[in-house]
Amino acid sequence: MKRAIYLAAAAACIAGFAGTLYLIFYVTPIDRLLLFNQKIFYYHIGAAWMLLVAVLTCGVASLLYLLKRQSRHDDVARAAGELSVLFGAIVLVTGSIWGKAAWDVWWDWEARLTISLLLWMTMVAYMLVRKYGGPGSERMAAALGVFGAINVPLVYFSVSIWRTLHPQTSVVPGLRGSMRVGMWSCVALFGVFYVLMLIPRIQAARNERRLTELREQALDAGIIQ
Amino acid sequence: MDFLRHVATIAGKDLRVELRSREIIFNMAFFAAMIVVLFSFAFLKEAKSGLMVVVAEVTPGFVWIAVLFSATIGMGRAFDRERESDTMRGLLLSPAPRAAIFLGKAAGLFLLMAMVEVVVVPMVWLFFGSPLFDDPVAMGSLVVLATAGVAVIGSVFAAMLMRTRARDVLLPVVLYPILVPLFIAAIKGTSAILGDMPDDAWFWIRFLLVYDALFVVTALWTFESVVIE
Amino acid sequence: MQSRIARTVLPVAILVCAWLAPIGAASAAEPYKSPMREQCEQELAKDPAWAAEARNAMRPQVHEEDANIMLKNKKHVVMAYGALWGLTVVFLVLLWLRQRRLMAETERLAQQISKAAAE
Repeated sequence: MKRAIYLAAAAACIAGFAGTLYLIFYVTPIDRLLLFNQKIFYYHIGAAWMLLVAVLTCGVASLLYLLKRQSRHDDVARAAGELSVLFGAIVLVTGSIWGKAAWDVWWDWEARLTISLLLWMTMVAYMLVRKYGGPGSERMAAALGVFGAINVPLVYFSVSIWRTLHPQTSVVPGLRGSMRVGMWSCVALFGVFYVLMLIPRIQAARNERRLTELREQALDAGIIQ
Repeated sequence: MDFLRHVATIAGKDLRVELRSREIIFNMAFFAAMIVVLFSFAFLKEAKSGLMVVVAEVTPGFVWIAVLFSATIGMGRAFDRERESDTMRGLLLSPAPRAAIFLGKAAGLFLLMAMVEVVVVPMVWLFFGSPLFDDPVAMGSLVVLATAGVAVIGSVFAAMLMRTRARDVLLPVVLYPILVPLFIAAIKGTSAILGDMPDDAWFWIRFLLVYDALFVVTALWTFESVVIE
Repeated sequence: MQSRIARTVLPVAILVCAWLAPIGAASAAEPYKSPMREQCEQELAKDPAWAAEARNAMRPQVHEEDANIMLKNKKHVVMAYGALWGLTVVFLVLLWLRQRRLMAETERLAQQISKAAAE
């Protein structure tokens, strides 16, 4: 039953990708200011929202893990952490390319780009701790996850204030009509994609953990060397 | 009050041990001074008078990068010392509540950093003629709040990584992303003080207050769970 | 309604009169101001067909500029979507590889256990 729902959702997701691409390239009008390049914006926004959602998921799961010490929360945190690195990379790369198209520079210390970079680097640090932390790295990574999630509004606030002392270079067009539909359907699509990626990743994390536990048990019982 | 007494005892213990050998404090202070000197080489330019001067806008960066880097090695070394003498277990077994132990360690680190700042800030004032002491109240509040933030968050992560093999390399990796808003606030606040913009400076000081409050609470929640004795 | 006509008519009128201006400007010491300007505008307002024709005559130029910018910039969109799909595919491939390794290890462990149990 669950598998059927998952497969249906996956099919919907694929259809969604096709549908949104059609929406983006054939239905939405060409933006006045940025012309064709504005089309990058739709998937970029979807990925950015999901980056935030993934970071928050990781933060909440990490907090639950620290407070309750139940491994299933750690699995969720690990899966969400990995996905946040993926979405962060997507946001940064597409944002950078958009920046090149709009402002002719690959990178600008603009508020949103900087915030995304910092958030992405925090999650990369999370994955590094998971990988190289040795025994007990789940708890350490969980602490970093909690601190990182709480840091999100502070980073947003401080970088935005920092940037308003400089002239504004970004012009985000006001959305109307089909553009708004396009954007929100992309956000929804990425949301479904995120959940579809999260669930099997949590399963995989759980299986990995069970495998390690079983091996420990077998070693203890002297069954294997 | 008992709680505060525990905090004071632990901080006092750290300070007394440190003052006996003065290992961390001397190395931290020299490291910070060296960073200021190195950075000034990076940012020299020729002024109209023919003298080589440092680009004035970057001097806040000198102070805070030097403080941050030396604090990182200081906190790493402080917890290394605990691990080497295996005193963490003793601390955890003592009747002091865990929160008091944590705040005591953080207070100790705060004092170490303060001693380094006593060296770095006048050094920057002297070398670059930056009017850092023109608004002593603002500057003092900024420095105290920023140092407290680094001390608290640094203590959590340094304690957490105490037994990890890759601790020296992982400490900056986990610490710096979290410290970014504090860093921005400290630097922009110092720039505002240097540029005689008290409103901006006090904005960043209030921001640091919020930041510190948020993370002290978070640290107190998570500290117990992550310290491995 | 009137302002819309004015907004489309005025630039057209200006352009039309600008076309006509060099013919009359023998001595171009100072920019020539046509005495026929108001009349032009009134005539254009009175004759919508002429106004439409003039507007249409301008159209290809506007589109050509826009079209050039669009064509030049299409590569950025392609790059961005390509990068997006590329990253996702890399991620999925890494996940799949890890899954395969996990399955292989589980198999190995199961075999070892059954072998040890048989002894």
